[in-house]
Amino acid sequence: MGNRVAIIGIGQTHFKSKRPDVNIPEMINEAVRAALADAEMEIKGIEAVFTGNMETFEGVCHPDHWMAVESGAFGRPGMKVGAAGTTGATVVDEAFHMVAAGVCDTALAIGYQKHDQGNATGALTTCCTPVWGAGFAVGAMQEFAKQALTYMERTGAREEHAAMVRLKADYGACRNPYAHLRLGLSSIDEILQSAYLVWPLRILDFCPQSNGACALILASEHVANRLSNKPVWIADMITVHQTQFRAGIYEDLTGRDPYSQEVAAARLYKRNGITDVRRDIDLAEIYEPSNWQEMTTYEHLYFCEKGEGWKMVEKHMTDIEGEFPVNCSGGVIATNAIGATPTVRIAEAALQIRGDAGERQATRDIKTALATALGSTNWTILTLLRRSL
Amino acid sequence: MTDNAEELIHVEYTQPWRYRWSTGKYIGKAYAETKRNKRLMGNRCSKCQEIVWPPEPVCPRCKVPTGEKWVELGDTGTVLQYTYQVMPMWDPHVGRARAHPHPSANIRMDSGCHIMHRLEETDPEKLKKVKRVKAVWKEEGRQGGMDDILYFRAIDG
Repeated sequence: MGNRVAIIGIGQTHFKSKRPDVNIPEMINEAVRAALADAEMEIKGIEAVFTGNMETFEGVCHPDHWMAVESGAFGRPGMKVGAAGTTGATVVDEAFHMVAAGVCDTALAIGYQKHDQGNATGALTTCCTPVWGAGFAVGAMQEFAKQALTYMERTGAREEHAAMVRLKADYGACRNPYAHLRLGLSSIDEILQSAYLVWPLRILDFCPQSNGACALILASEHVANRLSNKPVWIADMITVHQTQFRAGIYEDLTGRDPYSQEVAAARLYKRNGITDVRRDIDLAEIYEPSNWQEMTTYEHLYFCEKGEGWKMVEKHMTDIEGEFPVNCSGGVIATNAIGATPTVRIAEAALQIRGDAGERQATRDIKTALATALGSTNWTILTLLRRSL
Repeated sequence: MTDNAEELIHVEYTQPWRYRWSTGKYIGKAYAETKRNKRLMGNRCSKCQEIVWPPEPVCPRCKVPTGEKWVELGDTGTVLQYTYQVMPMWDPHVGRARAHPHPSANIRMDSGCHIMHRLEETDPEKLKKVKRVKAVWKEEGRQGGMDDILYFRAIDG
């Protein structure tokens, strides 16, 4: 490993379904200013800037050019990063590597998405392998549905458990002023009455399209200790890739189960001395595309035994007040500005470690936290954060 | 900054572009087989001997060149899991919302290969009994690819 790196500034916009009042650079700038204010820094203290989004969603080929002033990149090194759904973590990873390598002492990482002006559908067409996927006539949603059915058959989980995940998410979102969907749900019955999209998945089982940005300021050890009285240390980051449309190959029925999560988690835990995940890690912010996948993600990340993810939900272990809180922020199911989403996971985990998460602060003290990113096609990036190294 | 408060102006732009993606040597071969011969063809890994589907030059498991051992997947298989659409939704593969009247299924072909396709049966109750299935090919208008199969039809045994 290289030099120690800490997060010393965290900023995010209020995520909403529409932001017609700002253009992309102005929206970015809100998050950048918030991060600088949080770090009590000025932009002149930033040495390099990394930005990223799901680029084709807004139809702008090099958005980094457009926003060079507002992002702080003007006259500085840095780059635009594209890694589909994991982009928001990849920008942090790039900044982390640069600071860890000693190339710079401070770096700004920005993930963002402005869904309200783009053509997400046209862009998504090019996300799947176009040659193969175009003739397929089955969408990703159907695969999620089949995963959910298989999960129920194999483990004994029921639709009620998915509804419990949504209820938990909404409880957190309602306490998070930055979250997009704050529905004020009061019972699982409300969720179980929402319409089916693809049997057995319901409208309330899925995330919204959000607009917003999240910015993190990273610093080397000596700068972090000088500038910040509550740095959050990045203990480790790991990326694992996976291919698409490989049903059956990894003992995986649909070829969409994130094999990459298990590989990434096993490697990350091993090289950081984590042998009992729920003892050695205090909290997680995970990238869950739907409430069903929150339960399987617990299993992929070794939070519990295989087939037991739904039991953690049933026992309220992952609630804000629980022994192993997951997604106190409301998670992706409440807020999904895709390019910003993994950045938000890291930001929210860091806020929990600082004790600055306000009403959504976990009840137990959080010293170590895990943030995940999942993107097409099932790439995984994990970030391990600690209060002290 | 208050001048435009009453009217938020947007710039509109519609992209008229079309794309033509090359299918490549391996998927191109598979597509030619569906189009001309109504056959699903994968290639067998020279190391692990598993069928790679869709066919590719490198085995994702062994990371070795797969070679040119082509093998038929066959037309019959067993349904492992299925679902059906209740509302029209965005299909990321075609970039527009559409309803799929035919249920989506994961099928293990008798050759051992897993594929994703549709089922002919649309009645949710009858679907529960659909296990063994056989591909129903388009007789006209095959263009290469999985859509050359209309759907999978329930068969006995």
